[in-house]
Amino acid sequence: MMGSAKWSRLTSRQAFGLAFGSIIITGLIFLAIFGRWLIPYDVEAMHFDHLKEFPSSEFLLGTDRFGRDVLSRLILGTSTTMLIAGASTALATIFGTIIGLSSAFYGGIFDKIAMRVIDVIIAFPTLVFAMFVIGVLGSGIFNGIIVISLLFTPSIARVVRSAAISIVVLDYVNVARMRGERTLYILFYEVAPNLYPTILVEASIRFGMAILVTAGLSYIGLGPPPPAPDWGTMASEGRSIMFSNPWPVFAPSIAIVLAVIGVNLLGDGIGALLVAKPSRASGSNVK
Amino acid sequence: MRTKRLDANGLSVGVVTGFTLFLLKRVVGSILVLVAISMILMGIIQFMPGDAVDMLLRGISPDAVNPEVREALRRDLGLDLPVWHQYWNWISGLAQGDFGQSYTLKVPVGPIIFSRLASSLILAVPAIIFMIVLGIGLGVLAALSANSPLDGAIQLISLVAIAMPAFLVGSLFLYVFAVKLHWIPAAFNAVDISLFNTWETITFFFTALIFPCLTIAAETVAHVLRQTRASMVEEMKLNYVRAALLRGLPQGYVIFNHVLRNALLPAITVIAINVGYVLGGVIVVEFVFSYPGIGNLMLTAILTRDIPTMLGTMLVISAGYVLANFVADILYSILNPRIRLS
Repeated sequence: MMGSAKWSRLTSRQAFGLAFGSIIITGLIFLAIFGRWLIPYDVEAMHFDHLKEFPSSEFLLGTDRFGRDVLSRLILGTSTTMLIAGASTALATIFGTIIGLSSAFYGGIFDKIAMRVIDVIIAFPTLVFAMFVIGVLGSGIFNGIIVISLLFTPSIARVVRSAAISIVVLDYVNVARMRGERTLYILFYEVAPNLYPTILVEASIRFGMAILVTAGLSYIGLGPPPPAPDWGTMASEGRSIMFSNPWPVFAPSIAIVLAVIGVNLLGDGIGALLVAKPSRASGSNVK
Repeated sequence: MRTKRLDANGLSVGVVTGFTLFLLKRVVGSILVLVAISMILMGIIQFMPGDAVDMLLRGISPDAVNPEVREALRRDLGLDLPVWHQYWNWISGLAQGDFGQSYTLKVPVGPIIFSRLASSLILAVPAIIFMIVLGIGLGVLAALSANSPLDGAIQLISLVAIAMPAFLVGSLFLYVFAVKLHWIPAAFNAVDISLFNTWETITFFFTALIFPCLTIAAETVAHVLRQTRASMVEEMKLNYVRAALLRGLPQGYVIFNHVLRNALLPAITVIAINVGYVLGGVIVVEFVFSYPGIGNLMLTAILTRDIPTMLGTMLVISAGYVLANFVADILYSILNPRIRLS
């Protein structure tokens, strides 16, 4: 259980951020799961007598150029965006942790090769490369998840490795080795728990970025194909009518901003709560 | 051959020797990364679903095309060759400055890529300058006024800026300055910048191009700012700073000659990473503003399956990023000579 000493470590600003971030993220997860039963209109229903309308009591966020309800599409789009961003972050975190941990534990030639490969992947301009790969292989939820997780894995592996390197040399790890524990046991039961705060903070930073990358890819037409509504795709479709009604562009954009701010605040809060010395500057970002 | 002077620890003392070696390693490393990138690009192209030949013959009924014609076209483009051979053809062409023929435009790709690159650089270079100047400037300002309302405001704005997708910032600019105020064109590809003289280009930049440029810079400024502020604040807590101030050195001198120099090290890494972000941001922003740059060229090439253009644009963009990292490494080692030894 969480001791009160940990909570008192937070400044009021961090506590507020943690609360605010938790509310936003809980809300988004709720919408992603239950949204399909909450939407007021069918997302594909075209209301031809209500084209490009501004927000009204009938259509709370207005309608797009086909007369489709923006609010319904926004709510249903939550699941697409959250699925791509969430799954790619989860995959990247899992593989990054495995690679980083084994790299620190085994050292030697394995470590050297892993780090060289990571250097090369990091030397790619991530976002541009994601565009290229998805452009070549075709857009879709699956391809999006694979490409984004592949691009995020190296930096998570690096962070995990640098944190694990100081732990794998500690006495209790050596004792476990001498006891004859299996390597997997040592890595995931002895070493990894000490890294959870670091991993959690890094994963939250990546999650925020993944939302932005997902949206950016969809915006330039490399997102999941229709009919799945997705925030970036919605904003992109709204481009052509922005001059008469900017709501179809701004509504999904604001949702993205809220989601990313929520994730970042949550990550900052968790970092302050779990990591003894919160020195995170949110400095790293998508390349 | 010059003998190396060694100090007590057996480390080479001559700065030039150490630095030259470091430079050489970095040059070789960068070239190897570029070669790896070119191989990976060629590899990915092999998995492209949908045939470039079909794309070229689009609009012509499949029955009307003689299979022999199709095969001849494939041979003509060199697509019947094994991967390594295609790669060799591409690389040996590149070595002579030949990027290949565009499938769709039937002209050499190289000149197109470089003229589009020039248009993109008009946006990217000032954006990078904004990022460095505004990012470090505002970061120092926030650190010096740490925990004041000004600092709070800068922090809050940067938090929001980081969370804003580039297309939102761009759309806001477009909505206000193109739709409402009519200051800038709604689509920049309607304007032919190449017809402008120098003076017209400069005026056009400051009246219209500044908005796409600021759009690219917005998020990166926020990243650099936060890193600069964080490392400045950490650095100013250190004893040597207090000692310098207690010795009576002027505060401005201590901040700019002692603190900033150390605090900039992490900022440089973040700047280098962000140059890569600028390259990606350029693509999205070019799309938002319909600007004829290298990003839009790449997107069009992807949609039309124009392989030489896809490979060429991607390689040029990657080379820009590798160059940025190279420069950052060098700057880093000048500011922090210790890392040359590691």
